[in-house]
Amino acid sequence: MAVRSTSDDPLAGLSADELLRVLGHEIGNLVTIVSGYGQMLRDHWELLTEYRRLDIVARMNRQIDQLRVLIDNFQHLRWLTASSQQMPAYGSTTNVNDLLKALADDLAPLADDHPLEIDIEADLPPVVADRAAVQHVMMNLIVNATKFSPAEAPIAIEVRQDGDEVRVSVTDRGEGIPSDQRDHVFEKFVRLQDGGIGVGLGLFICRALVESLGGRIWAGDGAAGGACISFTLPVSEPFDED
Amino acid sequence: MSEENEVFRVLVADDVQDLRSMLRLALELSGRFTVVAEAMDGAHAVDLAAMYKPDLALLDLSMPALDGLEALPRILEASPATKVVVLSGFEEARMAPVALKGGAVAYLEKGVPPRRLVQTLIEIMQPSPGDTSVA
Repeated sequence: MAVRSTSDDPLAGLSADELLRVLGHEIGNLVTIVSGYGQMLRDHWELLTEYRRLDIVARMNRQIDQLRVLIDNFQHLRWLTASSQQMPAYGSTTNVNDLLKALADDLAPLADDHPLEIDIEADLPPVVADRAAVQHVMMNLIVNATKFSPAEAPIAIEVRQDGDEVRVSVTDRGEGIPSDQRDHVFEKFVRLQDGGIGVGLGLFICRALVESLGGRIWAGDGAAGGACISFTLPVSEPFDED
Repeated sequence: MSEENEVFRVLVADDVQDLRSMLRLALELSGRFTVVAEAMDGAHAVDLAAMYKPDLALLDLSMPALDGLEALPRILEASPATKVVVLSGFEEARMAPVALKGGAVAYLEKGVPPRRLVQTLIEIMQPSPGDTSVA
């Protein structure tokens, strides 16, 4: 199978064979987990406590959510390809405190056994944002953070105003991203190493969505080790105005 | 503890944490296995095998750092008594001969129902008298 290389090709830099292999691995694992838990519920229903049953159902739902993120990433990729690599800009003035607090409820199930440590600066100014786009970015970042974090390690979400931007940072407790690969991870189908986790599409889509809203995204170090992915949303009005 | 009720110590090696968690629950619900260590890549699996000397290692093939086929002989070198069962998403017909040649005692495809997985592993760890077959 030939490696494709044209810049407007959705599979640029990746052979179709490799894409199918990676997708098969990713989707196969998700289906295996859901199916396995379902069969355990059926086989051991009487033995399981109600708490354990609910925990298993939550784990099954988490896999479905991850599958939805994966499918959404490919839909965004298709949209990017069809529209000359530009995302639609649906940004509108948004109360970022309300938006992120509401999203936290959606993100917690994705984080599974990783506690979310959420620190949102009070009274942030309105930003240019789109709920669906920010939600998709945050879901990708949380899924990534869980994949690279040790079990039960917390994931930190910090939101701060930096001048005329609001910065959102998601920090895991994994091994971090080597400094020479930090720009590279936002490219299409890039994974940190051969056989690495995931499809390598989430951060590429995140960058496209953030930039469509007028923001920036980058990778750095977490304060307690691990990777810290930050993105910004522009303040919608001059912040020296009321 | 009688041999029939022996609880076997298991190392689970897979790069997907959620899959490791599912396998841990399936194994431990049976009452016949306890997961003593989980590895997220092949190199980690070799280190943990040397440290814990498990009775059984469930080994994925597609992993970062060191893939399962590369890790397999090193696990056996680090812990010769460990029985290694490959649990992979690759088709059995394609990869089983390579895994068995590398020292695995059995090859199972991901997606095998947990009950059958557990039963197969019990048969591997506690074969019936005169039974010399593997899964």
